[in-house]
Amino acid sequence: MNNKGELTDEVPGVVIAVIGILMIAGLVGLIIYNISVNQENENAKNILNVVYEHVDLIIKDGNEKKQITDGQFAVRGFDKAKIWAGLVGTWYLMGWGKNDASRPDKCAIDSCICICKRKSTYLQVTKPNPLNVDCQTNGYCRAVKADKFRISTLPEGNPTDGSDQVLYLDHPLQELDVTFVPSSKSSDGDAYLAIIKNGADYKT
Amino acid sequence: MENKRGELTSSYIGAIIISVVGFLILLAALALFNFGEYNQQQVCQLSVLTRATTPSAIQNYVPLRCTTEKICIVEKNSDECTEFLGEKEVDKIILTGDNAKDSLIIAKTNADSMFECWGMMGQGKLDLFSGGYMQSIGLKQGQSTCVVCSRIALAPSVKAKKAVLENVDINNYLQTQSPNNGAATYSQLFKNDYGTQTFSKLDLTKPGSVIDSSKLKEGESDGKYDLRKVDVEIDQTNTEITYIFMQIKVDSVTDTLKNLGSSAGVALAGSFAISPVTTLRTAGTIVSSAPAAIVAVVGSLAVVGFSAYNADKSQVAAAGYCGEFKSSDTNSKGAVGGCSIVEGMPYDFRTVNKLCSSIQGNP
Repeated sequence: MNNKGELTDEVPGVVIAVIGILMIAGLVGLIIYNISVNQENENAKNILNVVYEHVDLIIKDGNEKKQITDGQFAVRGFDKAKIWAGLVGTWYLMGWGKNDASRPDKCAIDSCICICKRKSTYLQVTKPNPLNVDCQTNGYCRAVKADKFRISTLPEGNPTDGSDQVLYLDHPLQELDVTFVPSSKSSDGDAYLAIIKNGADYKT
Repeated sequence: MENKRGELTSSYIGAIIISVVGFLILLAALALFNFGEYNQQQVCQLSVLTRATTPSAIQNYVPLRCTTEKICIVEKNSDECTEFLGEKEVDKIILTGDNAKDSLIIAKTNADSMFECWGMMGQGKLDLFSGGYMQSIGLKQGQSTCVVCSRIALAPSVKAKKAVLENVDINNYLQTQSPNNGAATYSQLFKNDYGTQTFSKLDLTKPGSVIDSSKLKEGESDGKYDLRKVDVEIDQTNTEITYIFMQIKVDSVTDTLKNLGSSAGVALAGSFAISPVTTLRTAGTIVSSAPAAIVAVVGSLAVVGFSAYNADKSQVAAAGYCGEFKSSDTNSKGAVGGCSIVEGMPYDFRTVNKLCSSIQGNP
């Protein structure tokens, strides 16, 4: 009887210890989560800045030879294993022309390039939102002055379901290639493109 | 009895209050702690140590806060490296105009980057990418993981200075010079207490020049699975060089199966502790029913087989990355156990992705 009483007396202590451990574990988890999410967003913004600056250079220069040397550059993608584990989102590059009515509101009246995030996994697995909603709610966009250029990547991103013109950033290192695309050459094409569409007149 | 109960209750309330206050103090301390006072290298080292001391099963959840250092070698301060367009915090190294001195400055910049990378990532002594719990029980294959320590690019005007680039000899610099004017050279520091060193002839002026691995010299490791390679490949058409730390660590098939067995044992014990009746009843059902027993045996064998297959594949992968390095210790697992490498290479997706299945840290 006494033993039973002693055991019962220990219960609140154990409960307090468990609650304390859970609180500390939760705090540590929250700190790590915040660091990770902030860093993920920072990395995405950095990639967009790098892409934007190269696009800007190509637009300003307009020199075909310079495009070959300055239009190719490498960016760090997001870790595929972490994407599948749900630890980071699925990030991709996407572009809209100023005449494209479906572009995100944050593009305002301009053409824009965006880096956007699917929260869970790849597009072919789950499609909770149209791309412009992704970019509006979970993405960053920058206005660009030109309407027609192409950004392609090597190695190619994870396959899409075929209907989305997006460029996944899911390799350790990816080469991006920014070029002007004259209308007459619009049918050439890599399979996965991020394109600034000039309204409906250019689509690969 | 009632009194005793009352006393206990008040003491527990006191304990709860102290715990909550302590927790709030901890929260406030964390909120007030200023990480900004630390430079990038210190923050990286701190995160490396945190990860290395975290149990391997949850290591992947500890973020590595290592940011790639970007160095642009220029003739004058107004020069820019197009490789770093849009990048933040690019450090500039300004050349003097004296060809001989400039060659040394370029060599020193590379040697320092390599040395800092090696030191920052724990000199190959720390397990940073052990693959987590799933890899330890063989349900996931081991893979190489990298941290891009630094990127070094030349401004266009420097790329044009053939007389300077021709005389850049990074390997000679590593073997004859010392970091921070100390007594030991870079190569002695690399070699002394840990790892393997390899050097090769480097020709900055030849397009597409790469090392000839047959000419590499090899040192000795201290016998642990960690080995280190210091190696430079340059491609003149892409004069951006990156220094990368790569680590792959895998368990042997036997160890993996032991881990799997231990995990199964713990799961069974846990199940028994939580619900002994249900556990025994389920075990009884499996033993008494032939189809259930067959399914259980076949299922177990499949899991064991899958685990062994992954462990074997992981070892093959590790040998692929680390195979050219040998350990002097006969007890060592050798290349199949994994290795740590610091390597210089062109910042090119084909080259980098060949070495790195995944990259951690910040760009």
